[in-house]
Amino acid sequence: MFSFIYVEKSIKKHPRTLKILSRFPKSTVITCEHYGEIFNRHQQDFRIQKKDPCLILAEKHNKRIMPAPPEYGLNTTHNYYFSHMLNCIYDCRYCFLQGMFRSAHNVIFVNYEDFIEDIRALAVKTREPIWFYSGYDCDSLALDPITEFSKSFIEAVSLIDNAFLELRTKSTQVRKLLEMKPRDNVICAFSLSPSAVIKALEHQTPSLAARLSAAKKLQLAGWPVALRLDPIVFVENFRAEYEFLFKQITEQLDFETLHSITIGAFRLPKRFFKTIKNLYPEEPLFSSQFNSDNGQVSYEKSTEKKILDWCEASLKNRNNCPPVYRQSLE
Amino acid sequence: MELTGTTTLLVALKAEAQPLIDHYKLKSARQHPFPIYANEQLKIVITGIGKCPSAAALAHTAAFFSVLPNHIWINFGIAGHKDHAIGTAVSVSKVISKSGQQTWYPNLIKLPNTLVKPLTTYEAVVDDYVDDTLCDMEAAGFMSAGSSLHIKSECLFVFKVISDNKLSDAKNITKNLVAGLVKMHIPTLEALIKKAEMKVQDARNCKLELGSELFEKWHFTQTQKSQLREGIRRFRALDKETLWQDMELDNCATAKDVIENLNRRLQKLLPKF
Repeated sequence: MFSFIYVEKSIKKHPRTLKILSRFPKSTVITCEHYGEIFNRHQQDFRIQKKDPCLILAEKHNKRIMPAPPEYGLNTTHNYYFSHMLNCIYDCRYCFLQGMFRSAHNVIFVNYEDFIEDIRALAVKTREPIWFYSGYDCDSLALDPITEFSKSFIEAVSLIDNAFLELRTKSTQVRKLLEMKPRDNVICAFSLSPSAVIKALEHQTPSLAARLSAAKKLQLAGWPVALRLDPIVFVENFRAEYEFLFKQITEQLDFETLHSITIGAFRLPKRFFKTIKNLYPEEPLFSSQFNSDNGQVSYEKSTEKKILDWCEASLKNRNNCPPVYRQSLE
Repeated sequence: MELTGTTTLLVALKAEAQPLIDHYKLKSARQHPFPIYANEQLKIVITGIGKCPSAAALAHTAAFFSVLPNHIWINFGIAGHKDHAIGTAVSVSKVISKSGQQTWYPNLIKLPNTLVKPLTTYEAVVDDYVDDTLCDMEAAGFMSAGSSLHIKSECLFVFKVISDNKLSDAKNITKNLVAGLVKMHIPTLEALIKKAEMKVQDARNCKLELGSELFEKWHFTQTQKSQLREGIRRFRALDKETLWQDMELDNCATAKDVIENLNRRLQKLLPKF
C-alpha cells in the first residue's frame, strides 16, 4: 500500500510505530528529523503525490485538540476537533485538504496518549457536554485496522462522563467497533452522497451500498449512527439523485434511531478553492456557478438556500425523521 | 536543435554520460558552458565535478531551455559507500550537505534491485566512509538549485551506482569501470524515467493554455484574456461533447461580446455525473 514510509527519528521505537511498520513489511523506511521536512516543504504537487502517496509516522507536539469551526457542531456549546492523521487514503475531488495541505502524503501521529490526555484536560473544565470531532483532517476509520485509532480513543473517551466523540468516515472499516461494547457517547457519522456523486467525485471510496451496510451493522450492534450529507453537490437531476439517496437511507437503515443528520452545500475557503481548481482544471465541479464572498466560495446564496431547504423538507417529510442540522456559513 | 524534452539527466563526468549518449543515440546540442547531448525526449548535461558546477548546470539548463511543466530532473552518477558492493544501484532518499548541514528529500520510485539510502555530499573525495550514507560531490548542489528554482519535489530524483567502498576506494575508479557500471544500470534508469514520466503525465496534460487563437481576432485586455481562459476552462469541463471552438462568435464585435456570449452559455450548464 505504501512503498515508502518516513518515520521521525524520535518515535522510531515507539510501540505504535513498530506495530504499524509491521503491517508494511515490503515498504522502505526512511528516517527523518521532523515530518514537516517532507510534508510542509515548498513546491509539492498534490495531484502527482496523490497517485502514490507515502506514509509518514510522526509525533504531534502541540495544538492537538482545536476548537471546532462555528458551523461544525450540532447546536452544542463546547466543540473541538482533532486529527490523529493528516490526509486521507480516499481522493474526494471536493475535499478541502487538497487546498489546505501542500502534500498528499498520509501522516499518522502515533502519540495517541497525548491526544487523550488533552481531551481529558478539556473535559474536566466543564460539566456541560463537550464534543470531540474526529475526521476533519482525515477519515477517522479508513486506516483503523492499521492505526487501531478507534479502540484507543473510544475506550478512553467513554470513561469521561461529559465527553462525546464523533468519528466521521466514508469507510466500511467498522470491525474494531463491532468487537467493542457500544458506547452512547461515541457516534459513528457516515458521510454519504448519491451513487452518481460518489462515482464522479469520491474516488477510491466505498460504494454507497457498502457504507450503508457498515452503518446498518453498527446500528444493529447498538452503536449510535449519524449521517453527514455534506457537501451536497448541485448536479443535473439534483432532486432525483438526492431523493433516491434519501429513499435508500430510509429503506436500509433504522431511520428513526439515527443520532442526527447534518446537511451542508458544497463550499470551500476561497484560497483552497483556487488551489484545487488549479490542480484539477478539467473537473466539472469547479466550473459550476459559484459565489465568492467573505473569503468563501459557495453556491449563490439563493441556490444554497434552495438546496438546503429542499433537502431538509424532503428528509423531514419522511416518518420519524431524526434531528436535521444545517452546516452552513451563516 | 530545439531543446525541449521531458527529462534531463545531470551527470558529473563524460565517462558517466558516454554509455547513455550511445544507448539513446543522443546528439551534441551545446558544448558551452556545459556539454549537452539530446534527443526529443531526453537531455544529458555534463556538469563537471562538485556541488557548484552541478547547481550551475541545473540552473543554466532550466533557465535557457524551454521545459514542459513537471519536467523530470535526475542527478545520475557514481557514488561511494563503506559496505555496499560496487555496482549496487541506489535510489537516494535524503541528501545531506556536509558543509552546510542542509538536507533535502528527493522523490522516490520503487525500482527493481535498487537500494534506498541517504547520501552525503562532500567537498572533496573521501576515503574513510564514516557513516552509513552514500558519498558523492554533486547531489547537494543539484537539490539545492532545484529547490531554489522552485522545481517541484516530485520532479527531482537522485540515482547513484556504487563505484567505491572500503575494499576498493575511489583511487581505483577508471573510465572503463564507470562506463561498465552505467551500462549495467541503463534498464533501471529507463524504468525510473518511465515511471516518473507516468506519474506526472496527467498533471502535465491539464496545464494547457486556452483561447490564445482568439487573441488575434479581437483585442483582449489582460483581464479579459484571463476571463476568457477561465470561461473556456469551465466550458470544457462542463460540456465535454461540444468543442468551445464551435461556439458561434462571428456576431461578436468586441472581446467583451465574446466573453458575454461564453458566460451566457455557462449559466445554463450544470455538472453532469
